[in-house]
Amino acid sequence: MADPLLDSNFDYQQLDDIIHSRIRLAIMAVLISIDEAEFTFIRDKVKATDGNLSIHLKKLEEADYVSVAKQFIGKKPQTTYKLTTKGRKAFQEYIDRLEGMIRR
Amino acid sequence: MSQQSPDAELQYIRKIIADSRTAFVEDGKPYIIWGLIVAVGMGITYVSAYTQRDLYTGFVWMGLVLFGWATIIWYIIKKRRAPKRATSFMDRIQGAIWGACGGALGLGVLLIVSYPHAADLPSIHPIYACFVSSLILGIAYFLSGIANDLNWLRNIGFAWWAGAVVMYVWPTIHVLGIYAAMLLLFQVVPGIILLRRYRRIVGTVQEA
Repeated sequence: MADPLLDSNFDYQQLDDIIHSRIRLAIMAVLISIDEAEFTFIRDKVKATDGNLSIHLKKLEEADYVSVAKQFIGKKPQTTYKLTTKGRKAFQEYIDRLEGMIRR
Repeated sequence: MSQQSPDAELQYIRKIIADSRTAFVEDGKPYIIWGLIVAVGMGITYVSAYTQRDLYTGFVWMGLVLFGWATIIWYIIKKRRAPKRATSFMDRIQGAIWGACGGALGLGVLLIVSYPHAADLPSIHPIYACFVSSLILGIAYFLSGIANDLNWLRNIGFAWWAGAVVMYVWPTIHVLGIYAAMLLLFQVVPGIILLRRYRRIVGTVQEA
């Protein structure tokens, strides 16, 4: 029996590989709605482990989709992430593609 | 990634975005604090003017305003001390709306109330301070409702503007009473609704 969630018209090759991962998509979705967020905020929203989240954030950083800022609040290090213009554009295109597939 | 339909993916994205925004839900406390303080002051001023009895309104206002600022400063310090894990544009817009409107309101009321003593020119009657306050509160609620995507909060702006029209065309001593009642209805009550909404949302997020 066919999975109702599967759509035969859904061509994954049209989608951005960097964003098209469950966890990276979630990170991008968290960051698109806010200015910037601390590592722990993203971790709580995405429900990922520290290690796993770091790997995916690194990948997004390498693609220049997110920018990182490190600072000290008192003696505590704080790492914050925000979407770059390129990342925002890529996410918008990703959404546009998905919507285009639905309309088809 | 599990190959779900575009529909399911979009739903997932919407859910994450909605969940992230819960971090910036207004708790309504400043609305309640200022609404109650000014309503009490205005109510006492109204009773004093209506009964023509000296109820030490000057001292009452001084005490209320000092108490109000002390409470707000305590509230801001408490909020700033809490670890800020994310910032949003909406949050900044919200602060800008109330900062700008609060400043305009304070300046407007101060100038109207003090002007007759400042020059021998045709003066604005102090009762119009309520009219100006209502106009500015209308702007603040209208913009705040749009920023928070809450139509009912936006519509409270219309209620304030309607009240401002009444105060303008009917500038009697009763304007003070009307203004006090409006503060309770359109400032304290929305604050309570926002506080309950905040607790509900935060509770839902913590349960998840």
